[in-house]
Amino acid sequence: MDYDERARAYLVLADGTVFKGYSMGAKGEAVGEVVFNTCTTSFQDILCDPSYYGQLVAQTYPLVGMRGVDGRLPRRIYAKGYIAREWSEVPQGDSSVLSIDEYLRQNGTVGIYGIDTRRLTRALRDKGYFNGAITDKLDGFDSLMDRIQSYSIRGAVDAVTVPKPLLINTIKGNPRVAVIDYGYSEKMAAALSQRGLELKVYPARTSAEEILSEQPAGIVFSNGPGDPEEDIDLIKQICTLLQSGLPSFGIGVGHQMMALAMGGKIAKMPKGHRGSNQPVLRRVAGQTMSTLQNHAYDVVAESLDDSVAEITMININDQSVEAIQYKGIPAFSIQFTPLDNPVYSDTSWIYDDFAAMVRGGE
Amino acid sequence: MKETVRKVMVIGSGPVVIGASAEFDCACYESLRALREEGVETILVNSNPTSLTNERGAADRVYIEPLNVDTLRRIVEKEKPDAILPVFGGKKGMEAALELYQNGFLDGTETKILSVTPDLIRCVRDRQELAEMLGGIGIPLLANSIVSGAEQALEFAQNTGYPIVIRPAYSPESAALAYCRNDEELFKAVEKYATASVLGQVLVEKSVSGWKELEFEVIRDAAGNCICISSIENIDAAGIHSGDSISMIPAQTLTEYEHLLLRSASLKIISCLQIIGGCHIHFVLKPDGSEYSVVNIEPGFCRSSALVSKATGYQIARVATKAALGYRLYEIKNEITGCTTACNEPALDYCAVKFPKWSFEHFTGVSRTLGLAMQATGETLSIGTSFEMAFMKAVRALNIGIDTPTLPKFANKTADELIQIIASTDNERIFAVYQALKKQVPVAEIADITRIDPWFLTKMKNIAETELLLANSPQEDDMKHAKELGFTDTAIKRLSGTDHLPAWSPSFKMVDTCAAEFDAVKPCFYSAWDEDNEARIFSDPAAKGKKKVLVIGSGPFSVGYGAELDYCVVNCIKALKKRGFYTVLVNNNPNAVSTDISVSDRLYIEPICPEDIVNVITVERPCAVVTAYCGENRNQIDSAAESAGVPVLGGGGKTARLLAEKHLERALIEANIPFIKEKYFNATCFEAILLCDGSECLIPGFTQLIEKADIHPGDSISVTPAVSLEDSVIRAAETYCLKLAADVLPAGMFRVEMKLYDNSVFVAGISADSFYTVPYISKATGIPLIDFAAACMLGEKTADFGYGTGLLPSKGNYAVRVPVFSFDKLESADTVLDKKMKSTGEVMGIAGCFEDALLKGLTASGMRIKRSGGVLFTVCNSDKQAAVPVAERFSQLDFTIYATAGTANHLNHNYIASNAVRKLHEGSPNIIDLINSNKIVYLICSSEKDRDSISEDKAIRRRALEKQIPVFTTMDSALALTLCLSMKRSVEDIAMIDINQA
Repeated sequence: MDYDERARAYLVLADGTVFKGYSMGAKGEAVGEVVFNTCTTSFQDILCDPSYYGQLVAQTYPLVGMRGVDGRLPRRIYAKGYIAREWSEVPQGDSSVLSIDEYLRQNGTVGIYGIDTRRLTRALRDKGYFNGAITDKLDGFDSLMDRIQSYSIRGAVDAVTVPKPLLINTIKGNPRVAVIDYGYSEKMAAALSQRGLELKVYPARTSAEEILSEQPAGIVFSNGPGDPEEDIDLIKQICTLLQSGLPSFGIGVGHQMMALAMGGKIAKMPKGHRGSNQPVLRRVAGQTMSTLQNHAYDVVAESLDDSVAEITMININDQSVEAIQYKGIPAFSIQFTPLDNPVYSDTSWIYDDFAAMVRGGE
Repeated sequence: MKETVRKVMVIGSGPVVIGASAEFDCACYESLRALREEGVETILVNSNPTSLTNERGAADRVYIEPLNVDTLRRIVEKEKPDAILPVFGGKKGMEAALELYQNGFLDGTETKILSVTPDLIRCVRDRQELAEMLGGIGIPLLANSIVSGAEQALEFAQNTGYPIVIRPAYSPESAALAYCRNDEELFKAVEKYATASVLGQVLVEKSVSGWKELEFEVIRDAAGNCICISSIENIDAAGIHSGDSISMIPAQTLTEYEHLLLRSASLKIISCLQIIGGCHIHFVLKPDGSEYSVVNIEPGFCRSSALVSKATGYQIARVATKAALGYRLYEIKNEITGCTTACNEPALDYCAVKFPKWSFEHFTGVSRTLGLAMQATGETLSIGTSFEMAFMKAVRALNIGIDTPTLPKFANKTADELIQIIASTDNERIFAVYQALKKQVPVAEIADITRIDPWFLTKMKNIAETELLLANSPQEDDMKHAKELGFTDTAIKRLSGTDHLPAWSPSFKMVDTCAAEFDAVKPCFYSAWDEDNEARIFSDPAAKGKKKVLVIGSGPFSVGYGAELDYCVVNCIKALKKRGFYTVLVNNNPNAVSTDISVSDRLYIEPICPEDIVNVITVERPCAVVTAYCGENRNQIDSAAESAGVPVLGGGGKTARLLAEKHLERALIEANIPFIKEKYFNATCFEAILLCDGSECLIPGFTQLIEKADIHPGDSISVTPAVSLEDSVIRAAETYCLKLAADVLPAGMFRVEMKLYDNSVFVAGISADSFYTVPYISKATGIPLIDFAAACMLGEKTADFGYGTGLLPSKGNYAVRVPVFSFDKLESADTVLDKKMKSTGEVMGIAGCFEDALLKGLTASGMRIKRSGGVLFTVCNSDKQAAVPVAERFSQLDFTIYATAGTANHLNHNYIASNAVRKLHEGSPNIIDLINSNKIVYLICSSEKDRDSISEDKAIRRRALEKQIPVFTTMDSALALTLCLSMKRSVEDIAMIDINQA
């Protein structure tokens, strides 16, 4: 971050607020939904998580990329733009480590640094949802404001879903699970693979019949970006799939769409859940978990009939629905993305549960 | 209430020593508050009078008694508590509780130990068992072994390779460690430390010098839910004690994998130990990430827990206490947000830096090299929106006379000289590193020498380059950039040579545990230079209609400005609140109780420096400021506040000028009060705290110093009320005090030193900023000194306090204050006392007579009281006569007297039989051999200040210290000991006193 070579950039919010900062990553303009994230590590994972599709992600921790990012993995950035207070240079001469700045530039992602990210977070928190833009020039401000105000994340699922079916972890004899891809994360896929499941990832619009005809041992409705109610067709497919009686597991937007399919309702939350420390309580065990979340919609608790579903986990801060166990069908769903890092996670048991269901050993 | 716990005994940590400061007091304070919130009856035991937890009324029963297993047993028998909470008592409190359990004293009682399982904690204390336990969950413990002699140590060294570290085994109170690079050093260390261990064994350990040092703070509830509160990264690599290392919260230079690895290990460990409460885990990590080890586990609470608590806003002691009562983390409300719970892992949106403060200047001959044993006496916490800003604030907050990391002594050094300097680990090394960066020494080269991660060096280089930029006709943007990095206006003006700065105003951000995800309800601020000013935005309904007073805290503790100041700050805030004021506090000391968010109405974590204080004044616009308890910076802060137009309660600069010696002398002469300037030997010293209202005063009691010698009064054993002053003397002293109040002193609290010389009373000095006896006298007399001091400053009349005026009659008990030293922690420091204060803490003994109170005090100070054995005298000529009655009494008590030639000769002339011992230079066997032979139980050793043989005396004293033999360097204190011994009573024969009833 050479002090002398900084180039101006601006973050403009839908209410006309302008934050002055400096350009990071690619130059140009990015219009999107502005969201904050409270992680103090995992910056690359955030950028590459499809659930950030269409969003300008602001880090609340003032420093990002202290150890740079792994330049060896050509991972796609889904976030529309990146907002930070300060990024760190990394030692020169090691091509496997890129600075955040360089990484964004190589991926053509627009970023801004040098702004008061806490002020931004407070604005996002108080006003709910904000569109905004990162731009390197303020001329044509009125038309920029038009672009900002008219922006909405549309067609997110189609933008992030796999173009054609994809097989992961094909090992003979392993049960094969169908993953309906609304923007699945690689870490989720790895977690299921590690539990001896073969995955077939389907484009979101694959018909239920086609999927069922291949006789999967279970179904995963993946996490992903966007509004779960945007496309009624997708919900209808889920209805059919759930009626099959196959072990089913929904995550994130998949969890919300499953609830819609089961007659539940979805609401836009007052300010969403963003960050790595969302506390979740597993009711039956009195067990708590710190979870990673990024969502603006949630399942309305009262909308689900007791005879259909049981709410098994809630968010401790606002009591919102975090997990549902369906009755009469072997299906459950989780609002957050369970982590399954190799050394420790308080949420990896969720993958174990699903794997056990698929194997019929529940 | 989840469990059937209705009555809890909380164990304090005893006196402040290096390595165990007021952090435990913070924890006990928070814990008591949590227990009382739950309606639990509380019993508190702590021997440290400076503590805020053993105040009258701080708990339902308050015992200021020696902190040992006997006391605990007696309290358990008397009070029959349901449970004991030992985790906030530091190693001392925890060990005493474990001993209580292990000795079976809890068998057959209903009393259980909360928070920790004693058997599992014992396992943590025993490295072998710990290694096995951690091995069972796949976590490596730093390779080490307990060995019984040099040969076994050598075998270990041959297996792991040098360098290795040696320390006494099973000796939790000892912080002593040695770093060995070869066989020779190893033999020396084994010999030295085997004696310090109860079982004569030493611990040998693989050295991980140069590895990264990381600490994780985790907390767990009875259902097994646990969270990671925060990580700490020590900027100095392993090899320097984490307490002596500059650190940053959260950890900065870990990869995601490394972070998860250590975080998960921490959570596994707390689960494995089944702790219900907090746990601190200290790791080392090879810089390439290929290997890591647990270095140390602190179940419960430690210095770093206090740091994390203050840096993140997560109230560890409060949550741990409630968890111990059976609450789940998600059932414990977060007081800062009011809407989240204790199972939210704090999300930080700022950088916090801890900088240690050392007090080496108080000690003679002390080594300033940092190493494996902690030497810092205090620390400062600073918070900023960047590492640079937090670091710059920390440098200022140290109060060492600099506002940038440029230390004048390094300013003219060449790059080569600086490289030489940074190769050693002296306590000023970081400033040499900074200077080297300024001289363009490459980051990689410095990283190679110091093992400091290049990331931190790059940040420091950023500061260095900015400092150079400022000196080179800076533009407005450059100045703004400097401001964002934490430069003060004063520094920018000085460096740039201009008086014209761009217009900017301070803004403040909040510490809210949640990175602004929720609105905070408890306001704690730090300064930043952004547009939003949350200190203005935050409106507190509690402030409505109240006048606002700004109270300045003490900053980092040092010898002479210790926890007593914080005692005063907290009580002053309470006094102001009680009188309807809205209180704002500035302090940066993470070990201070005052930085607990429950204390003041608003808290600012900022340096106690003029410009920073003025910034707070600008935002808060208080009607007055209290600087009386801010310590060594008081004069500067007074003038800063006064020039900002805010009156200083208690007079500020005017009072300081009055008390300056030359003015004071004239004022006293005018008031016809005898004044003594020269130091007279053999003058009885005594002092009083005066609560003056401008015309009258209240004197809670006279405190007599046991020492007649010319040492710092804070280092003397003292007693309240005075024991050997005749009534006529007391009356004369009272008259002078009343006169002082009527004719000389303004309203406020003053400490008056007096001397009795040639049967006349003289005033020897008056101080308005040195209050180390205040907490002790408050507790000894039952007078809430600070509350009354606040009343005085606010213009109330002393006569209205309900105690009349003049000298308050004693209530019958005697309270003895015994200073406690940390010489064992300071390598090669001489233990002899002089005019510079050296004690780091104190204990108090209270009983019906002086001798009993003294015995309690001496026992509480950790002295091993022996009733038979050898007493060794080697005293300087000026003390020889005074040594006679001491030796006589010891002799009468059937001790064997040993003395070096001159002293023995003098004693024999006075008909006291003594065995002559050779001095060090007189061949062997000599005095050191005698000490090594375990025949000596007390050493009485004084030196003439200018004597050549002082180094020999020092060697003798250090050897005795290592052998844990009590050392007396003045005859008065040794004589006092004989008084105690001649009563032939043990502490157990003396009644315990509940301070609430005294």
